[in-house]
Amino acid sequence: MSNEHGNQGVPAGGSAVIFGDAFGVTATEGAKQEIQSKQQFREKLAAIKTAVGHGEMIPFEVDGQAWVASEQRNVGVAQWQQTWHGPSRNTFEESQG
Amino acid sequence: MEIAPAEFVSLLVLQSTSFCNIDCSYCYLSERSKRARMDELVIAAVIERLLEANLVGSRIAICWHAGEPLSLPVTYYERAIELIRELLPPSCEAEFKFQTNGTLISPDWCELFRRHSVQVGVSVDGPLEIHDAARKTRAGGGTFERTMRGIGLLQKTGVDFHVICVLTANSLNQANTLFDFFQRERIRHIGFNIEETEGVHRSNLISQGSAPEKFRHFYREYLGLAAGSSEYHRVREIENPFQAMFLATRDKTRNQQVTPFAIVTVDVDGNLSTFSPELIGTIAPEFGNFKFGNVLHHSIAEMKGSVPFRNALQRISGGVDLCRRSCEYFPVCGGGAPSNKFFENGALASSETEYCRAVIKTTADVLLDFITVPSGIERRVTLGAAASDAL
Repeated sequence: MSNEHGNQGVPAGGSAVIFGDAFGVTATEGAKQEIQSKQQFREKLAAIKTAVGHGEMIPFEVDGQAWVASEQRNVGVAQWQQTWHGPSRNTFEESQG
Repeated sequence: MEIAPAEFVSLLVLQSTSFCNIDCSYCYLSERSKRARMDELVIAAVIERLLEANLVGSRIAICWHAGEPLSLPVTYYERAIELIRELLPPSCEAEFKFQTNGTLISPDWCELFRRHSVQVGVSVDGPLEIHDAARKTRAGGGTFERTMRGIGLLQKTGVDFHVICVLTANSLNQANTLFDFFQRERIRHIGFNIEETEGVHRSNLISQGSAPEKFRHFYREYLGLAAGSSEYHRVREIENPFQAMFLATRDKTRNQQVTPFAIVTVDVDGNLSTFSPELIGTIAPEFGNFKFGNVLHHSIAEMKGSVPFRNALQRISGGVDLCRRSCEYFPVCGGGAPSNKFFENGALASSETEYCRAVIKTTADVLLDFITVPSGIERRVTLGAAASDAL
């Protein structure tokens, strides 16, 4: 399955959720339904983990930078809310270690 | 369990001046009328202390904030940037950031931003009626026109920027108005902050307990508008939670605000703090008012060994343990913001805050709803080849 840029790699039957070109994930219908069926947040996270592990859900960042797909990255959350690692870079810091 | 210090500083917040030329109703800074400026000796000492402590890695973000940085002359920052680059080893990439109210932006500033690839964040709360309700001059007038003139200059000169938009009880009911405004003004990168209780400011939104429901309503509506738009629209509160959720599945969560020396803040006099930058100077004798030493007089090692720092670290670690045990959102959060815990709960060793409920939990919940909705929101796929390769 190709997207409009001619890239390959969306799982068979996959679908995309795009927010103004900025960010999204692809997931199979089955993976989406599995996540939807969970009531607790921790169960939803577990379903995401399973879907990603099975290649049924693919997170990515703008411009095709698969930042989260790389095991080499170790990034942080809860950055200071008064600022933002803005447009030209990932929102989170890569590990320098 | 005591939280281990960061290997390297990620974000260095420098208060080049405590002064601000405007007087926002929700400002958390108590000394914004004082016209002090950070001396070059302090700037040099900060970098030298971090180097001495081996806290400088291959990259460091340096943000001028906590006062209006543009109230100092352009030449001040030319010299400061030059000095910092002289002191840092060639192996370290310094990335400079300004968080500004935008009212003082001039062509000279734009030239500086371009020359040094500065990341600029401008505080804009929306169209005139919303923006001017809180963001006022010292005489009580509005600041909207001057801020937008500054944004116009950034756009005209090709300086990339994002905006930070503070959501109040009033603007949380106006997602459509805000979305239209940002689209109309070609503002494509937006971070939303809710009006928080911090420093000298007490937020009605937080104290009334209505923030989570109001933000949920706003966020759902805004997300729908962004998703339905044919134009590029990048929102921090879409990106961060998504990223955090996928990080959580890989056990990569690392919260910079609870990790000692991941974020370092230095005030205009050289006093150093870490954890949440808003904490510095807060009256709290047990924690030395969150000033753990002065870069002109103390090494980082001395600061790490100080009683106020040890007290703060112990309490913050205790708070994170509470979060870990009690909150199912911990994997996407990593223990919240110490500043919110201190200002809302009155204790660092505490867990959930109104900010957690309103922002952390809400963004995660609503985004997951959007992932799972059927085709209405699904427009197109922009997956890069690198993504599939990496997986």
